[in-house]
Amino acid sequence: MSASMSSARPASSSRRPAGVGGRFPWIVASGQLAFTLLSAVGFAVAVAVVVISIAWRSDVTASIWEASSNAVPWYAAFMAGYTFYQVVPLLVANGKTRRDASIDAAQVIGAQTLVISLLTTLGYLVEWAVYRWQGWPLGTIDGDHLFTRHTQVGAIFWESLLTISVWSAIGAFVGAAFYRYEQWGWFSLLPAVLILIGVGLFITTKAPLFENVIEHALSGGGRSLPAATVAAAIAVAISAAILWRIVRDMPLRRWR
Amino acid sequence: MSGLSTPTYPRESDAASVAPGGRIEVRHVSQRFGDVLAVDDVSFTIEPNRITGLLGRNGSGKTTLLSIMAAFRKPDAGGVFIDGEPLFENPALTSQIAFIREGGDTVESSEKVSEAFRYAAWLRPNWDADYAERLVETFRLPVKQKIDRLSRGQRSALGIILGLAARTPIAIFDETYLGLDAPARYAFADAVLADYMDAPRTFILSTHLIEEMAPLFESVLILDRGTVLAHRDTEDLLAEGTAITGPVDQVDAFTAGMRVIGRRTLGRTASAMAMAPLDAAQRQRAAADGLDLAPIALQDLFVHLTGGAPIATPDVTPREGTS
Repeated sequence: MSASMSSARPASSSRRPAGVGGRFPWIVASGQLAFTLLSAVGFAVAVAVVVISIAWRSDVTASIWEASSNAVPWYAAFMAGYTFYQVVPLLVANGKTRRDASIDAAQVIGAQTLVISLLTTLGYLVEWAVYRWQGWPLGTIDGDHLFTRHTQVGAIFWESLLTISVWSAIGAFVGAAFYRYEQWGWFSLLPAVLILIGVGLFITTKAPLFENVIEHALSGGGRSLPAATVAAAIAVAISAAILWRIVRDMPLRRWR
Repeated sequence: MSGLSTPTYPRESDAASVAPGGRIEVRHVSQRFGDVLAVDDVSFTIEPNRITGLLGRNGSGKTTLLSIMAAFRKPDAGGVFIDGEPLFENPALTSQIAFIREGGDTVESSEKVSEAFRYAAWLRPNWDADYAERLVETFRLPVKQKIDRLSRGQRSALGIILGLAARTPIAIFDETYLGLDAPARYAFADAVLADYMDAPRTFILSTHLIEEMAPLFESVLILDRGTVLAHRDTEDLLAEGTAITGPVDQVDAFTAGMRVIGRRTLGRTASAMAMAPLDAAQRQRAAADGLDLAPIALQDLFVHLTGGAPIATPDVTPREGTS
């Protein structure tokens, strides 16, 4: 070690990369969480408009939030994909390693998953309050869920957390694949679909594209919270492995 | 400057001083893109705290090599080491390097310029906000503008500011100044020199504007077809060639038998560029013959070494009444 870089060491060693005992990457997370909160407000307004439209013409007899929240996993996947498509390369270009940048990104996606799950749960509670206030019937929630009623807050939150976690993990490796392989990134959708189908055996995604396949797969079995948790954990682990395989030596390409 | 106020987010280090750059060793690096071997078993060493010019024709592998030297890319073979430690995925070393490609693409283009500085303040341990502010004034960069709305020159200026104000021990600029106008290019050269004098560190500048940047270079690395053609101190490299100027007959007689890579004439005066280090006797003879000797221009040498177009130009004969 020469004198020159020895003197460089204090600067680098005093800097603890985020995610390795370092700080939470607030600068990245704040922008994305603010965008998510704004999107949630817009989404809630859109759902309210739908509810009012239905109530104007007929009785409201089903959970509109349950049907509308099918879009939420897609949003989570998109945001996770954006994080690995746009933010991780930016962090690496500014001196972070791919590993540290990925840990930063994972923290941001984790926070986002938590916030989205809380907002989804909050949506059910708000819907429950509005329906009671208006005297609309609050029957059991249709569809394949780990819960049947609006008041099962814990189960609603846990299912949201598992679903958003899986979709975020998938979105992350798809985003990274599109960054690294450009048009060949479409091939990453194959493992993404396989993982979703696999997890769909235990938790519903309610995504229109996969609904039929998953419902078909579900036709033979019931729902179990522990099984769903294990399935989601396996799906996230597989997705993380695919993601790291893509990112660990990913070249930074020139933006056009 | 309103957009460059103290960042809201804390820096990851309060280190303010600039540590000197380390010894960069490129060992047997190769990189292939399909059928194209962009970098072919390249090895060289860059000593710390020098300004090195990286020259090469289009497609010579400069950007690929620099990307590898900045850990933007893992090479197919070989590796880059700084003070003996491997660079790739080494957080203690990657944080010490700023690599700015043409257009300064280390920022998100949908963000504002001020946001790019905020990110830099967070990510760069030695980020110097005051220096960045001064450079913004120098390059007249609109900090409230979105990056994708900047002109090419402004975007280049942004890259330069990010690269210089990061105050990393190793700063690499790859054709960053192409989009700049002449005053801004001069400002960049002045900024590099002033910054280097203030806090010596390693600069690597890749450029096609050879004559403009040549005065900065302490050493020159010439890349051609993915291999290193020459890597020398600038003075030593230039000493390999001599420009001989004087009466046509005297110049022709003096250069007989020498490898002349370029020749220009103006009336009865000729200037020949000979690839021959002259000994003391030859210099005495040149003086006696009334010939002027001068170092060859780096750009001419580069053109010759990379097998470019002949430097010789048609004789220029003054028109009547103008001599």
